[in-house]
Amino acid sequence: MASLYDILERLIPYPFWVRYIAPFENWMEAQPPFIRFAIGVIILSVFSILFMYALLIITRLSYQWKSRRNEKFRQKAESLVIEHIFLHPDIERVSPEQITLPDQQFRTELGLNKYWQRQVLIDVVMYYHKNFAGKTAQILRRLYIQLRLDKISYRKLRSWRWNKKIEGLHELAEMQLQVPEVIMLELTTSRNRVLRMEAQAAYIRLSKNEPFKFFDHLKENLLAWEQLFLFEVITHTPGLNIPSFSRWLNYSDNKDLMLFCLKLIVHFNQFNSISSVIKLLDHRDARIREAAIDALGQLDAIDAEDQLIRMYVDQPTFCQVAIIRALGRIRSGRYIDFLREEFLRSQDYAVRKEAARAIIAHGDESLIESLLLHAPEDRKRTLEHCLDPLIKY
Amino acid sequence: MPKKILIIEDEPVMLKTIELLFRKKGYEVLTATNGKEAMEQIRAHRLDAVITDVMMPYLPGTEIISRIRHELSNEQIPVIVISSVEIDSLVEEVFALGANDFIRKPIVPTELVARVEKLLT
Amino acid sequence: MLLQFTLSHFWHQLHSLYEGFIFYYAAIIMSIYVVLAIFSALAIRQFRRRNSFVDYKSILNSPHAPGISVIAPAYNEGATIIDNVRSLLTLNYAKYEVIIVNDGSTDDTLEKLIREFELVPVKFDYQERIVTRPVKQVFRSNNPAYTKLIVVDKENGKSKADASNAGINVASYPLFLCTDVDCIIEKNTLLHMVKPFLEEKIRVIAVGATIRIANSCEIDQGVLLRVIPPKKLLPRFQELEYIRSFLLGRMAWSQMNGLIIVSGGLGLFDKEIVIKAGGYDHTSFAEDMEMITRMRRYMEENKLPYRVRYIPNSQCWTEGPATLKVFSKQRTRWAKGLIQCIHVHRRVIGNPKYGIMGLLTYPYMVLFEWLAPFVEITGLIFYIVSALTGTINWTHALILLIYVYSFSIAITTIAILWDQLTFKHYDSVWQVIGLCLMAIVEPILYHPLNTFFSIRGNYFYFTGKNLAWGNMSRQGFARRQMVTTQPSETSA
Repeated sequence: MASLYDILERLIPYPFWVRYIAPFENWMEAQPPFIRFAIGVIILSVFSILFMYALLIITRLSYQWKSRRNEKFRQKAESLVIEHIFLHPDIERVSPEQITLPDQQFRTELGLNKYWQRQVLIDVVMYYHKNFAGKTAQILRRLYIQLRLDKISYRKLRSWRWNKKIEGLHELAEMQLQVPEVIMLELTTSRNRVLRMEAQAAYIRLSKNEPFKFFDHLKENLLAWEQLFLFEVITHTPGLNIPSFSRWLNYSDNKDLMLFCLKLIVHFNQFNSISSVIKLLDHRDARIREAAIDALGQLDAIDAEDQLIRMYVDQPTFCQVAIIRALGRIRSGRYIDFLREEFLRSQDYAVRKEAARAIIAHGDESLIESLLLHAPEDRKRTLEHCLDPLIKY
Repeated sequence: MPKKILIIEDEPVMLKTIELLFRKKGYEVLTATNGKEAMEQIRAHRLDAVITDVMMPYLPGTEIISRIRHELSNEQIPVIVISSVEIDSLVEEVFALGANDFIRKPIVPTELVARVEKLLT
Repeated sequence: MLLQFTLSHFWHQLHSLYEGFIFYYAAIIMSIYVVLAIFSALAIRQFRRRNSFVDYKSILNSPHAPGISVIAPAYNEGATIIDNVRSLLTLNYAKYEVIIVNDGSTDDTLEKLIREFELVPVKFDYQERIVTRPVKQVFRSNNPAYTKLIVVDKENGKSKADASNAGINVASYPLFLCTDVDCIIEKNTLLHMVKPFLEEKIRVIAVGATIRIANSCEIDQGVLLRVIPPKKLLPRFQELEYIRSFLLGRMAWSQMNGLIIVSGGLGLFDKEIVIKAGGYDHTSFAEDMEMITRMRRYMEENKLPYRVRYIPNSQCWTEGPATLKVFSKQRTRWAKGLIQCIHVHRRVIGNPKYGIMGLLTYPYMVLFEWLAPFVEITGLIFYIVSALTGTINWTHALILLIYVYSFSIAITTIAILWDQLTFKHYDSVWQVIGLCLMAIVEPILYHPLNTFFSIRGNYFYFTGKNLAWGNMSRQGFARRQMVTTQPSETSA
């Protein structure tokens, strides 16, 4: 504890020290160790409290000042964008490449000498580019380049901090600027999840030739969140060259990628992938089987029905539910007896309910009526539940 | 007489931009940033069209449509829904409630104006 | 003479022994707090860096986002039910349903709901996956604008747990949000809380978020307009306590994967695991902590990897008890709940089979949450006795007191600092400083109350004295609503 004393001696101004604290030195030394420790903690606490108060006040005030400053600038920038781009008098007549850019107005009105000014302007331009499409978006992109805002984005991309890299990628991908494919491809296998995902998204949006090339060497799993994000990017990038996703069903052993491709196959209605999807019905992993069954249902794969029925008995419950759901979607009518039997036989509520819905989807009024008359009480309740138009699920 | 339209949108930047787009076209534009303001505007004015977002405070867009269609006498007023939601059931729901058009974000300004104009003639 | 000597010698021995014990006990608590503060700082920093550029709209817009059932039990909430249900119906999320469980209210709660939302009874095939009091009727709306709403009318089960269980039985989505009908939920809550479920390789079974005190906030028809720290003393202390326990405690425990409390006011759960674990226990006084414990036990006993996660965002504003009477009821019940939960799950304590929960969380709960009030009381008695017998070392006593006191202020200030560095809810810095200054009087005014109610709860528990769950009487947001010149939209 003597060391604490020494440290304090150095910290506290000498006259003050001599007058108020030094006299206690002997007293301190006479105290038992735990009291000396307690005194140390007290001093530390008091100093840290004062320090935190100062920090609180400083950060809050500077935050307030900055946000007020940015807000003012942002509003100015927004009205310029609206005035000179959205309400541009020529916008309806002339193609976006021929419109004279209002970059001079932006420079004179906004200054744009400081980094923060450019950053706020980037945010504004990005916001508009994201929410508005068509000619205005193209003019915004030209403006972004003309004002050399892309330089900031490229600089961020080269930063060693991963969150800066992401910001840069994000901006460049949104504004559709060229990024060397090698750089992006390398980042798509980064060990940092967040960066990897952003790089994959950017790659899909920016790659000229093969936007899905990184699927080929995707080793890591694709989390639900990443799938959701990439799905949105894939379905929202105009002019994207959509390949047949069955390619990765056959050649990849990445399960998450397979699940993801199944979703894409369904979304893009790739009927010629049906045979590849059917092959997955023998997959070892029940989750994959379930997803494949669901996909077949959504693709109306009437050819798959026989196999679905054949495999039914050996499946875990959630796959059985999926099979019944698929039959309800395909509605060929060939297996309505099967559905009726499962509805009456199954001990599992989820199976029964799905069977009831599949039967209703077939629209066989006479069958439904006879079931309502003759089925046991609990089955009838399930059927009525599914028939009620006000109950969604 | 200029046509009067109401725009309901909880993001102020979007709201301002769409508002000015229609102002420039010679419309009289009223705005609301939430369901409560929107209903006040709808009750107080004779509107020619309503452009609404789906998710916002107080009342969701779906309920605003339902109120326009069921509570108010003017059932003919065109309602245009703007949303970024991709889910088909929501689109169906919106049309079932009586919306006339559904426009997905990102918005193409000229298209938005054209579709509103089409409904107004 | 000799006897007197041995006695005084013995007393002296005991004295120094006890002084040492107090010192070490406090020192251990303090080091735990320091560790928690560091862990939570790391966790918050990581959370912020990962989520600063997340566009939550991707979840909102996606057809693949998991569906969520929002379950809110209501008991005699007639005054505010309509506004609160409306605010639940305007959350930003595409695939969700709102399940209001009318727990046998004796007022007009159900009638108001039926009238306002045009409800009609439906032939709902109710599956009792968790046993509850009988469900009388399930309602849906005729109006297509309210397709999200389901109202369940059941017999009163005298507990929120029973009502929540009925809601879980009706729920149709894989995740459910458990909340109270009077909680003001921020509109992006579901988007923020669902994200941890989507971004882990390991199954996430529950997610919690920060709850704050709403007592002085500006609220209009269930919509939060402005966040203001509580003005009255008692709620103000609670705000301080909430910030500390949520941001320092739970965030850090979640980082260590040892979190066992996801509060009943706001928690998102994996329905399948909840049902397998048996749902909420309606005999528990702390059904939220008890259920997480049971869910964790289920996962550990079946050797399934899992996580309980926590996000630092403030997502929910609730009304804290404003009077001492209600406050005492609440805290006494909490104390009873704690000891009951420890008692029921005593096998977990120190058991390596239960991982971090067994080795760290539960021992911590026993030693520092449950026993702390007793240590404090015995300490107080000890000091009084020594003062009376004149054997007290006043300087030492005073130093030890200041030691604990200054540290507690420092920890509270750290919590506020964490909150303010990451999320800036209050408008001005002076509101923040005002809250900080409360930390100075908190150990003198508020803490003794808490200690007293804890001991009271223990006394009730061990003497078997029955304390009903107690439907916390609400002040009602209606009374404090903004005065608008026009009649309100929704009640018109």
